[in-house]
Amino acid sequence: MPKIAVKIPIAIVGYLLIAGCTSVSGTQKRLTKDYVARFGAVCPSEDQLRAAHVPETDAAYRDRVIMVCVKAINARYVEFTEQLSTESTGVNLISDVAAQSLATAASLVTKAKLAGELAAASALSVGLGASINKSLFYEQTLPALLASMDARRSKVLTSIVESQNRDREAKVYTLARAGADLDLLEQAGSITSAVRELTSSAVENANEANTVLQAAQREIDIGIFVANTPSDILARVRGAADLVRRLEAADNRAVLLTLAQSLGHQPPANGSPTYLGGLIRGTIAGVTTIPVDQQASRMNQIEALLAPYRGISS
Amino acid sequence: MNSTDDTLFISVHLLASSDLASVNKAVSLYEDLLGPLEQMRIDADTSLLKFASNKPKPKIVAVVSKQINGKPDLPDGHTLAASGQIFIEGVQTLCAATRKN
Repeated sequence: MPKIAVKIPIAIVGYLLIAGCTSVSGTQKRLTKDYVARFGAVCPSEDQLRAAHVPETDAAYRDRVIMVCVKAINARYVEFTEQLSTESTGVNLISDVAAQSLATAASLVTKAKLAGELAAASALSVGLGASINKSLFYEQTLPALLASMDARRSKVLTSIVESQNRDREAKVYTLARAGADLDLLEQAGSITSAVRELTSSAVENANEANTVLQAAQREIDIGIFVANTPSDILARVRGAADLVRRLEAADNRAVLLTLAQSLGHQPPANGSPTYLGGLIRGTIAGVTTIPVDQQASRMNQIEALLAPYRGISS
Repeated sequence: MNSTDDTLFISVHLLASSDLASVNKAVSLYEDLLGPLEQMRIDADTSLLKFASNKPKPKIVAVVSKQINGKPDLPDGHTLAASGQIFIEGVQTLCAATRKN
């Protein structure tokens, strides 16, 4: 995408000059405790980092907090991208874009110099054969910026998912370390981040990162089999897995998606019932890989989630 | 992700000290929960079994046995589900998982 990559900074500068309203910031809002409280946790707070969480395993607790945080960050990101896509946005982007060494943008901050700035930007655009107008921004630049942010977010999410999968006991990839990655995920939803990403091909990066994310999402590791898992627990595990299979057979994707998310997964919204069911059955099977004295309480949690669907038959 | 792409592999590890009976107990359990066994190999100091959760639960569970002279024991009416080196009682052992048709 070399042509787009060259035009994008120019188009951003041009857009900054012609935009008439100032209703959106160049980055998603930072999470606040009150905002995240809606999702049931902070991301993660000092209290949560120190909190005892028996009978939940360290990994289950870590995964649950990560899931809540990712949900909150994703919600903020959706808000932000929706605002960006609204026609009446733009000039506040100046402060964000200027901050990242777009030399032309740095000199184009005040409206008092608008004529001169337009001339400068125009000369720049003519030199590169670019057309600076709103149409260019909305047709080429904004989609590329969104693709760039998506690419960075996918990379960070992939790293989080892989780290979770690699360390099913949360001994190395602790909640504290996850917190740093969650900060990166939040920061990835910004114009600053997007423009940086556009130095290499945004669309190619999005595709590549998405492929890697999909690969990570296609393989999970549930840990080491505990051979002395009691027979009553095994029966409950089998019962829960059978129920999930019935939901898959009934093509109940919405329920499976909700259950997968409730169990700490971040599946793609268009995941098939079989795929979503596989994630859930994997989590259920994971009960046989945690210490025996924690298995009953973990099954209690899983069965509570499944309880509303007990009557479903395939 | 394509909504028609169901691919999802789920891996389970076994301690290197596991005997053949424990391996088969695990295969039986996880084929029921997850789907057919598709791969078996050594992963660091554990054995790794990989199951395909996008495939139907097998009607007949695969049985793991040691390979003799590097060849799986594959009687008539059986198919090979997976083969590879895993730990049996702490020893790297070439094994095969076969399934009666």
